[in-house]
Formats: sequence, C-alpha cells, structure tokens
Amino acid sequence: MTVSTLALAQTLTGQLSSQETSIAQLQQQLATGKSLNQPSDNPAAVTQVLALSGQASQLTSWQTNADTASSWLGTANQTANSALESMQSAQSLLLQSLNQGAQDPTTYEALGDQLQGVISNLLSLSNTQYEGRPIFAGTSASPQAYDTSGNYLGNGDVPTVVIGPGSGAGQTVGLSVPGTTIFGVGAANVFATLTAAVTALSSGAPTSASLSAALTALNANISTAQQASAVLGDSSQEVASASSSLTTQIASVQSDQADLEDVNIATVTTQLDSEMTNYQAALWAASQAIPETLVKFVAP
Amino acid sequence: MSDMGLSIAASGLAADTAELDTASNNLSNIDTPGYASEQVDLTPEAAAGPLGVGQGVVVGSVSELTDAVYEAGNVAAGGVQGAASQTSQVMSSVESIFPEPDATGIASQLSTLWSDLSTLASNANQVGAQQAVVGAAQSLATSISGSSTQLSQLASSLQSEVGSGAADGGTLATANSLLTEVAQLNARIVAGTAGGQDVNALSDESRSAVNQLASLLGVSASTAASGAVSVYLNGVQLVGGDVAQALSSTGSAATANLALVTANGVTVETGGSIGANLTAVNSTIPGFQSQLNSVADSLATSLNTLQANGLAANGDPGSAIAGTWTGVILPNIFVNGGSSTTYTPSPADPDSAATIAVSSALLAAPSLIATAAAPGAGNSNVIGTPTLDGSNAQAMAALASSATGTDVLYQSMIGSLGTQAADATTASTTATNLASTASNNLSSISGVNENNEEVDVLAAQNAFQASSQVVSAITSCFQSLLEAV
Repeated sequence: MTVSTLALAQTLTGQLSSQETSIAQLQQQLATGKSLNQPSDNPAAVTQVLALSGQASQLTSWQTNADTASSWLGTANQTANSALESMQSAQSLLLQSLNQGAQDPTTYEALGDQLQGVISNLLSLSNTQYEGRPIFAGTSASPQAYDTSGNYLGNGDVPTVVIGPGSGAGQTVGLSVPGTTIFGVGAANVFATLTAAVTALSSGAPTSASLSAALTALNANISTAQQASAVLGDSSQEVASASSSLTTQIASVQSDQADLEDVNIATVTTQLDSEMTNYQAALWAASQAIPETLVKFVAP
Repeated sequence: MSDMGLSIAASGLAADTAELDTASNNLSNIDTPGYASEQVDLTPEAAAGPLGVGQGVVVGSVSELTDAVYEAGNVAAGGVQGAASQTSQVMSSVESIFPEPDATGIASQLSTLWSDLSTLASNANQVGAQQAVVGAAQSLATSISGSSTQLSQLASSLQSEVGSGAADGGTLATANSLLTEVAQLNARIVAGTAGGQDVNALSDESRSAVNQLASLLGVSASTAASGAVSVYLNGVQLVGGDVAQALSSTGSAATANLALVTANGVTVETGGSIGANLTAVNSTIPGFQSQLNSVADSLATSLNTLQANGLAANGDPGSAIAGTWTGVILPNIFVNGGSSTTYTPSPADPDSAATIAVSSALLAAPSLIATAAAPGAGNSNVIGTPTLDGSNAQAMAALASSATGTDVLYQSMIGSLGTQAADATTASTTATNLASTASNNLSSISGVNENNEEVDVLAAQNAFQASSQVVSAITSCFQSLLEAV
C-alpha cells in the first residue's frame, strides 16, 4: 500500500496536536491545582462537587449559628445565675427579718433599702443585652425587656437559630428564654414580690404575715428561675454537641470535595513528564522522517 | 522495417517524456487538496511484420488513480467530522458560559444567598444582614439572566455563521458557491471528455469542492460515466449535470426553527458543520435555556411564596397575609419580564430566566424582606408590630437542602451539560480518527508518494537515455550504409 507523502505529514501533525492537547490539559491541572476545570472534565464528579460544596456551605452556616447560639446562651446562663444569686440574697434578707423577731423601725428600713438594691440589680440583669438586643425580650423588637417598674415589655416567643437538618427549617435551638420564665409572670413576678416586701419593711413595722407571704412568693420565683436556668443549660449542651459534630462533618465534606477536585501533584507531574517524553520523541521522528526521501540521495 | 527502428525509438522517447511530465505534475501537486495521482497508460504496439518484433509503445492516456468506494468513504467521513467538530466547539462555548466548579459560578452564588439568609434569621432587623441578602439575590439574578442572554447570543451568532445562503459571508453562502462550482465543472468535464481533452485537473477541482461540501453539509456524491458529478443531501439532489440548486435558510434562532430549503422549496435535513449549527440552535441551546428557566423559576417561586407569607422586621405583611392591612405590603423578591412587581414562570414567559431581577422596591428598601413568620400558632407575631422573629428567614435558608430545590435543578443541568460536552469531545476525536483513516485509505490509492515519483523519474530518465542511444546507433548505421552505397 502506498503511503502518500501528504498523508505521512498529516499523520505526524495529527499525532503532535493530540499530544499538545493532553500536555495543555495536564498543565492546566497543575496551574489551577484542580483536576475539574469545566463540567466536561468529569460530569459525574462535577455534579458531586457542586452538591458537596453546597452541603459544606450549609454546614458552615449551621456552625456559625451554633457559635451565635453558644455566645447568646453563655450570656443568658451567666445572667440567669447572677439573677438567682440576687434572689437568694433577697431570700436571706427576708429570712433574717422574719427570724430576728420585732426590731426597731430603722433596722427594718435598712433591710428595705437593701432589698431595694436587690431589685435594681435584678432589673439591670433582666435588661442584659447581647449585640444590642435584650436577651430576655423574646422575639419582640422592644429595646428593653423590662421597664423601670418591672413590667415585662417582651413577648413569650423564644428566639431560635437552626443548627442542623430536621423537619421544617431544620433542628432549631433556643438562643435564650423569655424574661417571664426567669423573673415570673405579671403580678407574681420577682419585682412585684420584692416591691411588696420593700413596702412592708419601709413602713418600719411589717407584720410577720406580710413577710411570710413575701418569702413564699420569692421561693416560688426562685424555683421558676432555677427551671429556666436548667433549660438554658440543656440548650448550651445541645449546641456544644451539635457544634462538635458539625466540625467533624465539615472536615469530612471538605475532604470528600478535595478528593474529587484537587490534583494529585505527583500523579499529574509524572503524567506530564511521560507526555513530554513522547512529544519530544514524536518531534524528533517528524524532523527525521519528513526530509528523508530519495531526492536527497540522487546526485544532481 | 523501413526506418531501421527509428520510429520505435521515437515512440519510446515520447513515452518517457509522458512519464516525466506525469511524474513532474504529480510532484507539483503533492500537497494539492483533492488531487489524485496520475499515471501514463502505456501499451505495446503489436508487431507489423512477419518477424514478430513489436512496433514500440503507444501512449494511451494519462489516467487518475482513484477508487469510488474509498472516495465515497472519504466524503462520508468528512461530513461526520464536520458535524462532530462543530458540535464540540459549540459545546465548549456553552460550557464557558457556566464556569463550574468555580467560586464565581451560579452554584456558589446560591450557597452565598442561603448562608446570608441564615445570618439574617438571627439578625432580622440589622441593615447589614438585610443588604447582604438583597445583594446576594441581585448578583444571583444577574448571573442567571446573563447566562441565559449569553446562550441566546451564542444561538444567534451560530445562525449568522450559517447565514441566509445569499452572499453574506456565511457558511451556507460558501456551500452554495461550491455547489455552483461543481455544476460548472460538470459542464466543462462533459464537454472536455466529448472533445477528447484531458479533464483530470477539472475532476480534481470537483473532488476538492465535494470534500468541502461534505464537511459543510454532509453531502454524498456519485460520478456518472460521463464524468459529471451528482451531489445529494439526504436524498435531495443538489447538483445534477450543470444545474445546481441553491440552498437558503428559513426560520430563526429566536424561534428555534432554523432550517434549510432548496430553491424548489423542499426542506432538507442536513449534516456537516451547518447541520451541527442547526441542531445547536434548534435543540441543544433551547434545551439548556429551558433548564435554566426551571432553575430561575424554582428560585423565584419558592422565595416569593415565602416572602408573600411572612412579616418584615417592621411588621409589614406579605401580600398573601395582608388581609385588610392598609399600610405597606411587602414586594416580591424576584420579578421578570420587565414587570417591577411580578414574576411569571415559564412556559407562560418562555424567557423567564433571561429577565429575572430583584424587584426595585426591595432594592430600594432591603428591610422589606419577610424575616418573621405569619401571625399564628406558635408565635406572638402581629401584623404591623415590629418583631425580631427570624423563622421565615430560616425557612428561606432551608431551601438550600430541598431535595427538589434550585441547587439540585442547577446541579442536574451542569451534569447534563458536562455529559453532553464530554460526549461531543469524544465524538469529535472519534470522527477525526475515522476521517483520517478514510483519507489514508484514499491516499493509498490516489496519494502521491515522493519516493515513487522519484523512482519513476529516474526510470524514465534512464529509458530516455537508452532510447537516445538507440537513435544514435541507428543514425550511425544509416551513415555507414550511405557511405557504403
């Protein structure tokens, strides 16, 4: 079979250009560090990478939410514990005034003044803010959770964030609790209880019945606050465990993604090296083959 | 034996000259497309006298070395390669519109939108968080509409590449002038053959034109005994004798019905690179546009629905729950089709993705995002009362993990784009290999090999010298005879 000179040249150039294509692909992979540079590089892997990177982004959002929740709950926990301590100090003041029997009016008034101090302290705790937002006002847009008279300005909803998959918007966790679950509801709240006690003590001659009533009400307030503190602690634990599991999941998704799209430098370098060798051999062959014809050997 | 063999030597010299001419012509055309190697047909002249000595050589004609089967195979392979390499180019243009996986791609912008919504959920009344969401929505809408517009532009540039068929620089105009050329060559070949002229050069030209037509349209050709070439496109005769039928295009890329019709008004199916453009314009690109429409529709419809059923941080209600509310009603997040208030999904708006945008009302007031849930059980939200509830924003962010959501639709679109592009590349490589095999097969018959021609030249040269010697010997014999007489 005749091999025409034109066909020989075309075969050589075809070979060279196909080698150049693979060299260019390998160089692109090395330059970008990615083995997937367009959808056709590996359609199945590209789809998977897109899904994984969407997943990574969502896990990161949840992680951010968990961090937010952790900061909120930390502040809320601390505040709830301080509030409990204040209530317990009020409790001991009331017990003191009950147990010491009849005293002179100035003693009662001094106790009243101390209780008044506890009220101010509790009011300021109840209006604790995180990033400019009162943490015990529920989802209300009110700038304060309690007014100066101890009236609740917030609502009963718990602000939440999503920290994982689940039905609806996902697994939600409370950032805080409404003020009423710590400080009590309406006329039975701790501010009303303590204000009544202060009024009785300030008179200089409180009846033991009024002091007992105030103490009973305060004990109820303390038990409410303890329950709220336990709820906050549970939420904190839920967030901490979700957060650590999210960290693991993010690392695993990112590693899956890297396995699919990152270049294995060693493999690609070796491939490039071998392609280059083949390319040089083909170039050498072309340089030798094309000029060699009978013409060269026929004397002019 | 009246001239002592002088006429025999002369016939040898003539044959050698013809051999040298042919070899020289072959070598000159070594790189000419469509050229078929030529050879001199020589026959020995029969003996005239009783001795049985032949009367030298007769130069018949100079014939082309061709093979009808290999030629047809080469034309067919050329058509397939024309189509496959054009399809592969179109697919890589489409791919470059969707740079995935990449931090600037639509998939990544979707993730940004979901994560900004998630941040907004716990910062419902913060201007920065609201602006981030509206900004992410806007850049996503710009990317989607930009990609859709680029697809339309690609389709219309592929249409203008084909052209109308008139002399507008399009490939169809090139095809028409090639068809005319084949018809004109046919007339000259038939006339030349009848007049006993050498028409090999005309056949070469005709063959080159048919090869180009194959690559453009995927035609087939047959050569009649008269030497006239007939060109067919899927059973429709485009060139018969000296008559060529010009093709023109009808329809348009915008309506996805670009087609070729003959001068007689017959619609023809076509292959080659023009056929590949038609397929891209009529089905491939509209297919991606409709997938992109689904992506845009899913995004706009799902977010607009949640927006309509929620409350903004300032208490303004969405349109679905506004009831008798007389204040501000929340605008849609996404709008399209030039409307500033509504989004019309496909098929009602066949260009739904091309015009998707964030509503101007929301751009002007990012605080009008419905972050809070509608008033109802489980919350104490009230229309008109400011709230920091972020549960509606949480529901929006949760669209990220919907199994039938925007992300999944987009991923499946990229998957099918990647598969089609990879298939097109493979098909193009295969077609190139087949075309190169077909062309090698043909060139094993028709090709010019430099060494072979050089050997022919040397042989002819030696033979010429030998015949010259004979002439010289005979001349000297004559002289001796004349002197002796």
